[in-house]
Amino acid sequence: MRPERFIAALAILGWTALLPASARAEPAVPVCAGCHQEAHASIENTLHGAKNDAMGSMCQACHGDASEHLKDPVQNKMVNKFAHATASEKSAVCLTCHGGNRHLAFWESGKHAKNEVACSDCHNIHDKAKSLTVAPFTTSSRPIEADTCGRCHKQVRNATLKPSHHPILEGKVKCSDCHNPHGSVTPVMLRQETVNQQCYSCHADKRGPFVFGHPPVDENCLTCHTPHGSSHEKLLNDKAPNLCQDCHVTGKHPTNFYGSGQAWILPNGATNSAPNTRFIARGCLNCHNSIHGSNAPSSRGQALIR
Amino acid sequence: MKGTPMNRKGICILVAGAFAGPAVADEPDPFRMSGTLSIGGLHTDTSDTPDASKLNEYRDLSSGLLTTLDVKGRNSRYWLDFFGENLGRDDQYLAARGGMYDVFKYRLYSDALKHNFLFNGVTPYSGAGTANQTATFPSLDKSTWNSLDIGYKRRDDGLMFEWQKSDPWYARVEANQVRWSGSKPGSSSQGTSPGNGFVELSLPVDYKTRNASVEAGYNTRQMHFDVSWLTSKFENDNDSVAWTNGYFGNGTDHTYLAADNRYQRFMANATFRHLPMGTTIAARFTSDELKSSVPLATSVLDGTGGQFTATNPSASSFDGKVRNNTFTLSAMSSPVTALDTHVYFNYRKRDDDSSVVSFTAPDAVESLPFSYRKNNAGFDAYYRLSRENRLGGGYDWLDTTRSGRDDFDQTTDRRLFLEWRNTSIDDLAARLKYTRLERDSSFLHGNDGVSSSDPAFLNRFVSAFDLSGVNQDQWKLTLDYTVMERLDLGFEGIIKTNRYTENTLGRLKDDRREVYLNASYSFPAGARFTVFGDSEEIKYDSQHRIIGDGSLSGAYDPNSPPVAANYNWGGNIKDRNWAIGAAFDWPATEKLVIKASYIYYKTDGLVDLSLEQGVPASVTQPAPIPNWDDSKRTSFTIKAVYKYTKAWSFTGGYAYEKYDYSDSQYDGYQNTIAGSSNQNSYLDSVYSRPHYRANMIYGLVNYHF
Repeated sequence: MRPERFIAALAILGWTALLPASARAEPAVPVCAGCHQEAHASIENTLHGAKNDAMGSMCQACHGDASEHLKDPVQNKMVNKFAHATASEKSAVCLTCHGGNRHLAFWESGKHAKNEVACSDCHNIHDKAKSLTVAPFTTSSRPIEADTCGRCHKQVRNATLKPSHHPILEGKVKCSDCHNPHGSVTPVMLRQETVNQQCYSCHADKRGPFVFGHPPVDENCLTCHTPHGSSHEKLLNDKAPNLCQDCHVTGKHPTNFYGSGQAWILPNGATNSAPNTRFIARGCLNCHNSIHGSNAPSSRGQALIR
Repeated sequence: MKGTPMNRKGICILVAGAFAGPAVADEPDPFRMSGTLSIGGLHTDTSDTPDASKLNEYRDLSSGLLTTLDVKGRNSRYWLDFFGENLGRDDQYLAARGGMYDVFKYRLYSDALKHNFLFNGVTPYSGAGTANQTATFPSLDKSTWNSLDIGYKRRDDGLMFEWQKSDPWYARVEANQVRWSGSKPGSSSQGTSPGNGFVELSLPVDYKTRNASVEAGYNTRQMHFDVSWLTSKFENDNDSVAWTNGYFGNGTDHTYLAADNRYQRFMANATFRHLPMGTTIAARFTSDELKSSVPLATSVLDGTGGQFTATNPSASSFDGKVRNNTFTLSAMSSPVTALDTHVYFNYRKRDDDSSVVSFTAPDAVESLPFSYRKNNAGFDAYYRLSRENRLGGGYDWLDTTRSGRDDFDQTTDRRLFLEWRNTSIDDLAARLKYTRLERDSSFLHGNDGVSSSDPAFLNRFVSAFDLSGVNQDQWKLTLDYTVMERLDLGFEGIIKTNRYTENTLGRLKDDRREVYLNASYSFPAGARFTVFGDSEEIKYDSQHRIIGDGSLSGAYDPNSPPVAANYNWGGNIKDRNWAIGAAFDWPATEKLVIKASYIYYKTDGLVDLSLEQGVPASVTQPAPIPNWDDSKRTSFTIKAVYKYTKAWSFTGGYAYEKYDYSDSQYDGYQNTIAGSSNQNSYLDSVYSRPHYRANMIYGLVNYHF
């Protein structure tokens, strides 16, 4: 580890030890906690808990007026607003306070509201146990957003396990980096207006404009790539040369077939002394490396080879 | 694992931010702190793995120190969350967020990532990964080559501040810098044909993207309005890479890299709620501009003697300029009880106003800007027939006109969907959705060529699948079933088929079928168990034509009878993927929790190639490809957390990962392919040895406060 990193780490780690004792004092306990200790404990260290007071104003913000219940808890039961409520009724409770949040500007326009997803389907208000997920080892202990989204979007979550994937389960890319789960006016609730603008928000080196572009690339990255996971490198839908040959079927070498007879090892198991350089390794991309566009002059650029 | 110097400024900002919260600790309302500090180590054994880059593709799993710090601070006015993990490692993450309730909030973060492509590779080049890569060719003895790792580090440092005190008005600023440094895989043909051999290059990655945005808005439960402006500047330290070209007489060739660009966007959003008939109207407008200026090369390396040819560009530089304008208007209503409706209109316009540049040599070539305009409108409606049944349906129309593509200038997509959601069986939620897409395309080459022996005649049969006419059918079924109190089952199935209606050559059809099943059980004592399985099959069917003798009658007509020189061939590609996995979570005692997870993921690709009926027997039959990105990944991890006291706990774990890979493009891989007349190919091993086996043990001491 480099010294400056170590010093920075120590500075941050040591911060908690230097806290004044008063900083660890206990807060006022809401009256609701007298009976509902578990529920209180579950929100105590959340934003909801921090704004709670002795009268349990934050408890009542969601569960309703408790004044009668407090007078006689046995006779005057609280009405459970959430037990048989629809998704929109549950969400309406949250929107009472959070409706003015900028993130929810397009909640009504989004697919989640339309498909009866409630806020509580994703957010654990009382910090209940998370669903058990199957995941490979990482050194990250951050909650993985895809585990929450994957409870409904199961095949998408599964795709992130494929050999080629964005670093989603590694905790470096979140579903919400591309999609706005709180609502959007764009298809599939993308944060940006188009697929390409979404991709360019991270992959700024691909946005050009290039002297020689590749029109399908300029219009839709998803013609060649699939964003959630692929069995092929670079999140490609299919491998070169097959993928390229699905459009490029005229000219010289794109018309030829490339089978295992062109590979390093021939179908009979013998070593091929002259494997086809248009097939092996990255196929077409061995030469057409600048597939997203090129600034090279003349035909070098037009053919995307420099 | 290699590291890059830590940004001292970034650390200072984060530390300062972290202290912003505790500064208020002396106030009467105490600032309560809680959190966990973890410190320990990881030992990874990959001793029989020649290239562990795939294992470490986005993770730093090298042996070393592991740290995590998770702190929360709260009082009735302020809040602070601080999180840091993997300190000092390539995937270090630090974040502080906090604020004063209803007054302001902020976030500071630094997120690092290493994307590794190759460990322990070789290259004939000196200076690999830099802008100047030299070699003396031929160089077929790889014992004289240099060692090579390929990968780049990406670090994103950013901040956000939002002012909420003037509610319902708010203002927000965000800024971040993403720094990429290292190298990435590249390659190039040596001549202008792959027949002249190719070289694999390690291209330098020295990028910096700086983004900043400001936003101001008005937000109530009745309406929302905001305007924002974003600027993004991408800078690349290297315009091009100079590399020695063995075929062109060991001359210095150039591969051009992404040029600097500057992007700006203005955006306005508005939502009006609680209108008559329960209507919400939403609108968005964006206008952006992307610019790049590139000096044009006046010569290219173009001869086996190392000579250059003048390109004679029409201008000294290319001025790239692309503008996008978008507008969206949508209205959601509930005109009658149980009915929800949605109508919308989307407008997308891309104007490529880049300068048109031309070159006269080595080939006469002119650049071609690409623009489009899309008008999209649609509606959907959902009606709840009863508490248990909801029906939905919708229609979507998309018309696109394009300039800058020679094959299609217009497409019209019509999409219809129907959906049924049912909960009439206790504890079973079912959703069935069918979607039909039909695309009509205006194909511009339908009358090309005067006869079937005219090369242009072939254009009539070539339409790129991304825009050609298509009929798409998609079925999706989702089931969630609580079988008994503690047992949940889930099912997701999809069938999707595209049939390209006008294609004779190119992709004809693709098809995807996937089934996913999962079950979860919670034991009364607290243990939980979950298992899943997934099976997916993706198929691509295509047809192609070999034209060996263009002078023969019918040579350029794929409908003509096959002859030995001219015939059609077909490709049928199958990708079959399987996954199974299980996990359990077992509180063995009051103090001890054990968690484990197992995943087996298999990918199996197959390419079947065939000649059309009637091709003479003298023609060599294509050989199918049995290994097409075939892989098997086994992941197993188990960990135990022992809670020693309220303040101390210990974590210990073991993880195993194994990845096997076989592919026809890499099986039997060599670093050189000898050719005549300096037409050798030189490869650096990238992607050729992704297989690995890793055993990892780790332990952490956790302090809770």
